[in-house]
Amino acid sequence: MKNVKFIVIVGCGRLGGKLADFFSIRGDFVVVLDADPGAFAVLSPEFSGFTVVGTASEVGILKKARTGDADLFIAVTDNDALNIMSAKVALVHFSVPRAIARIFDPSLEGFCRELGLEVVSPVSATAERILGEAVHFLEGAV
Amino acid sequence: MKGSVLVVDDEKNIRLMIGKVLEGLGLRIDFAPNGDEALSILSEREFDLILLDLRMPGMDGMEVLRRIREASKTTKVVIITAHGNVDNAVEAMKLGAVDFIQKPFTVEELRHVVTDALERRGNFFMRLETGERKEDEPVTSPEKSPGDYRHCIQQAKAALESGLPDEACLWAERAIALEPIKAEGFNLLGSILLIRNENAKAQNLFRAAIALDPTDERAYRNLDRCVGRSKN
Amino acid sequence: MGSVLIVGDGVYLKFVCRGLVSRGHEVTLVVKDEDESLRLAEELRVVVVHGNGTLPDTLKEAGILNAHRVFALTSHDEDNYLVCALARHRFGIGSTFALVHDPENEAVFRELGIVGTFSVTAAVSSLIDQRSASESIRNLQPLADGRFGLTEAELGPDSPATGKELRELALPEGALLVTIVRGQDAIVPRGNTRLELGDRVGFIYLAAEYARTLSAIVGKD
Repeated sequence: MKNVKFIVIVGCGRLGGKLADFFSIRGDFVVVLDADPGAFAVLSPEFSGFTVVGTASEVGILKKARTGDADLFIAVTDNDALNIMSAKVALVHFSVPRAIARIFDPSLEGFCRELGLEVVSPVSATAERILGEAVHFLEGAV
Repeated sequence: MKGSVLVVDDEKNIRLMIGKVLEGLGLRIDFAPNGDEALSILSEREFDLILLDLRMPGMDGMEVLRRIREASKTTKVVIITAHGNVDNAVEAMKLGAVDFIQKPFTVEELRHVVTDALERRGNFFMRLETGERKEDEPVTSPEKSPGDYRHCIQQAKAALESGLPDEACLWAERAIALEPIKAEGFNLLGSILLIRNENAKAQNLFRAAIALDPTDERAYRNLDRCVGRSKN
Repeated sequence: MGSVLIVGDGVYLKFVCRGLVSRGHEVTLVVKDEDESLRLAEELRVVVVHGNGTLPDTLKEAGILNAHRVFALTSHDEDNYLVCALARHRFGIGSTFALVHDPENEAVFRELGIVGTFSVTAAVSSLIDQRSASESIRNLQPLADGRFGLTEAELGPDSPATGKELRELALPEGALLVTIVRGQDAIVPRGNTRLELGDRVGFIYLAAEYARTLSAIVGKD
């Protein structure tokens, strides 16, 4: 039986939308979070996950998105601080096994790794690389 | 599993997800993106089960539920609500819904709710913070005397499950009489009264539960529901 | 006393700064918005740095390496978290403090290692909760991370404490009556001090025992 994972994605921009589509089509359980309800328009017709409207700095919203049940948490808004904090909260408060944060500012990358987060920098990575890493994780996980 | 289901939800991704799950169960499915279309389809065909999202643009979900009830007494309706919003669920239940499911829901949860509904095991009351009845708890134990607290609690829950709130009341009251210092009985009776629309009495019972056990989170949540605040 | 680095925005900033300066602290401000930074530089006698305080380089520029304390007072919880996290883990500042808007974040920040937080929402909410109909009760100050409180109230004719000696009062656990204002006199009560109608008494209580302590001293509303 295929290993279905629960994935929470914060930020439904171009990258977030792509990730959401990818995992949903793969058959994983996806919840996408964005403060702007209009952002979900980028999702493909094949997207069969859930959308939640709200700000990821609010614990209540992360609860609403069932972060506590997630296997993987991906924060890809355009706000570094928001990505870092929500990913950290996912790791520590919600005990999500793995959290990935997109960081625009290179000077924060090293620091984030020290915080235990996996970092993806758009400068050095493409969406495909992120997908590759995430799939690698999902397929390798127990 | 056999049966026909009408899925009423304005979000395409939800319809898609539910569709996949129900197909997997071997059910026949139809979709409607809003209340008007749902009622139009229902005027032509009957369904064993309707999955109805309460929060849709256009005709209000409650109104749709009301009209479904008017049209058919036997069609089962399971409502879909937003996470944390159980106040609507209570309202819907009074209008005849058999169960509810909160978004975002997993495939497993959806399967459970649908199979329970189709196999006539409405678990609404259970989900409404009366505490889950364990699967292996027997419904009736003729050899146990009515003087047994545990037995009374079980009977109360079973009566609720069978849609007999009056009988459930009697059992819960008996339970409280046997163990007046246990919060569980008060919480249970409060929930039953809430379902019977006796809001004021329900509040007092939840307060009693809290007074007996200040760590009883369920009682606080139930009390909030009574008082009309929406939490979460 | 020492040097304080503040990353912030908004109304509080100016007043917090003034307060700190008047207590003898040396303050540096990091402000993201250019106009705001210029305004503050003109109004206050502190060093104002225009820049993004969530970036390590900006913090270095603002002299974080010499700071004793770092306060994060922006209007975004995530920025306040990042500033304090950087201050603690990157720059080794022990004393950090974050303003928190979502009251649930107080506990969450603690889990993330940021212990010094202030929740405006929680403070206002508790004032609303505890505010009694009669304005004779004034809630002053949470102590010990909110586990204790300090309140001042006036004794009325029906108050249980009126007419009794301090040692006769049946106070709940953790409660302590610490001050009396009688007319113009300020009294630190002893066991044999007799409380009088109209006394304004200040008392400490365990947060969980607030209602019972209030009842025991002042009576019900």
